Amino acid sequence: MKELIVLTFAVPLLMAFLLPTISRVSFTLSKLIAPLVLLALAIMVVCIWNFHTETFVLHIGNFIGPQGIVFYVDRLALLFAFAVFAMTLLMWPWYFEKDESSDTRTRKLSLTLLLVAASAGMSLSGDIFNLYVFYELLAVASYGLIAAGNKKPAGNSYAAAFRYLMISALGSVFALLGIALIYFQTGTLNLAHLSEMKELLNNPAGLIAFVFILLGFGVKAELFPVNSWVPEAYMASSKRVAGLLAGLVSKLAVLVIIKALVLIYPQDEARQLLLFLGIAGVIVGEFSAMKAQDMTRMLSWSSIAQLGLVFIAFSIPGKAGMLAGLAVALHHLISKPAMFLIAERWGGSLQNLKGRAQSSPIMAALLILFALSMVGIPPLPGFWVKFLLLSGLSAQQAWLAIAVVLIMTVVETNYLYRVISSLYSRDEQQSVTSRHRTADTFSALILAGVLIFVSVQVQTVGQALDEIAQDAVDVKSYMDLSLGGGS
Amino acid sequence: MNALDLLLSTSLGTALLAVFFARSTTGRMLLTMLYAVQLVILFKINPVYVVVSEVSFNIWQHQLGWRFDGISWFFALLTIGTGFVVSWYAAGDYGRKFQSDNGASRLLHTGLGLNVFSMLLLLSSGDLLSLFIGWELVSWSSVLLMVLGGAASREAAVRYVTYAIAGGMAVLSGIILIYTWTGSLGFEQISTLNNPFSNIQL
Repeated sequence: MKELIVLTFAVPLLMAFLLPTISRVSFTLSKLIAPLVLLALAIMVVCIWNFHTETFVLHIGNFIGPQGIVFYVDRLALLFAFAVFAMTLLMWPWYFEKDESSDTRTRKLSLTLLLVAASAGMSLSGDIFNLYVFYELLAVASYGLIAAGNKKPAGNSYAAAFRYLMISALGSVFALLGIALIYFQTGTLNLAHLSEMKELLNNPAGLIAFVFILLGFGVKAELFPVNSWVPEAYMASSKRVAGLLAGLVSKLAVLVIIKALVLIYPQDEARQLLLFLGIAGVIVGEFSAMKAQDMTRMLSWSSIAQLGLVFIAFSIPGKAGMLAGLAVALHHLISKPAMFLIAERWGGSLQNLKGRAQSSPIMAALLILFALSMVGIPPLPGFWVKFLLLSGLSAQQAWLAIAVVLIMTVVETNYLYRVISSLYSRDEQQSVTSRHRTADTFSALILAGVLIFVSVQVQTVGQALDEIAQDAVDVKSYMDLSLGGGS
Repeated sequence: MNALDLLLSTSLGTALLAVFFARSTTGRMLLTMLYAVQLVILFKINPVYVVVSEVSFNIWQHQLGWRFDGISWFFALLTIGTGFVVSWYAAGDYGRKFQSDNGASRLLHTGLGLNVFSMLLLLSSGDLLSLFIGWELVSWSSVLLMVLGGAASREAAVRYVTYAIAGGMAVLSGIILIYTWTGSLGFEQISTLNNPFSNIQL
């Protein structure tokens, strides 16, 4: 059964290229078949999770590492693989603009499947070059999805996609330079093999390679300072694409950086750099979100700040850091896409939000729920996430980081509460506004259900995350399994 | 389920029922009676003894629990008593006038109910973590009552929320520091540890 894991990237990739042909026969068929395939793959991942309780390694083509391509399938990889399919299903482009041609619609569906294939590959890969290949595939898919945003005035989406392409291309150059430096120092790109030889990278050249990789993969991870593309790109694309990029794609980019940190660069300098960039991201993100006059822009900057928290969490060494980082990342993965869905009808100026809660009371209530969780109000999951983060930072005596997290929480509360207050304002008569689409409300409700489930089952979920974090930092097991011929 | 659990359940139930029944006079009277029921349950608790809730959680080696002692009992009496009086006042003519002036009865009574419940949670906290949970819930349930007055009160509520969260974060930072220094969040464990926080002699 473990060989089936290859289907997680092979099937969406194949479907992405077959979809235009299917679409010529029937567009409705192409619109339905892809989500069914994603659903089947999500169920398959769950079955693999239940059937294979131990970590296993898949050597593609039976070429044993470090020479061959390796898929390292632990609980963390399966969790992210499931998240890829589940989130894509929730954010699937079910509806299109009236003036969009059939070709454009098909292109969007194909690009989404391409994004899924690349994302699944990234969550499973066990060598750094394969990660880079899937990362580039992901980049291509996301350029196309942003450019297909079709936002007025005409050309906005193309301009945003071009800006993203330029920054991402620069990032790719950095990443490739970093990979080349690593290969030059060690002669290998297999992560387990690199972990064996990490002493060879414990020098200025090795650390420069880490910086290049950090900046390179950090583009999609919304890492400061390579995140300036984010607000324009999210405003220019559809909210579903924005939610997918902010919620899912950014986490996969973070996953690559964390694999490098845990396996290859356990030294303090690497963690300090991550901490510094995380703090900068939080400060810039929250203050920019507070100044934003548009809800989508506000959510974009808020996403940057939340990713900053993710990096701060992962800068904590050991299992504590992995657990805190995973908690922050997964919380953001659930909350931010839902908030972008809510912004679908409310994405304009904040001044125009007054009284809008009357037209979509469910979405307004969900916005309150997600906002409270993001701020960290108990008993919602956001509180436990912040508690884990602050406990870990306190153990490391990272007082500056603690102060930043706490002060920025106050800033975040201020701008989120202003939006909510405006939504429920009953002082001004607003013209009738259209309600949220059923598909958006349904997806947001499911994400809210997940949030509430975690609130109620925080003990069970916490225990499961603890075990995943423990496995993820077990470097010796990683090396033994990957280089020892698999399980 | 002991008396403390019954009290907390009834309080939460009152807040939840307010969502459905606060718009009618009969419903508001029902809610007032539920506050009276809470008082009756409270008087069944003997303030001399500590009552420990049967509900507890163990999350990441932190034990969350709730308990009632004499001080908790006294302030719970003030809290539920105030809730009862306010609910009674808001149930009759005032409630009818409030509703006819387009006031949000549901918000008023739900906010009141949640305020009382969250204060009871705060008063019965058995460790720093459950104290913080109660503390934050009190802050946010108070906001529901603050926004009833219109645009000016909403602006004031924004300022309140900002200050409340700032205070909450200060409390949380203190809790984190105590946990770092003592390794525990339980009141009894912290008080028995020989770890003086200050050597200043006044």
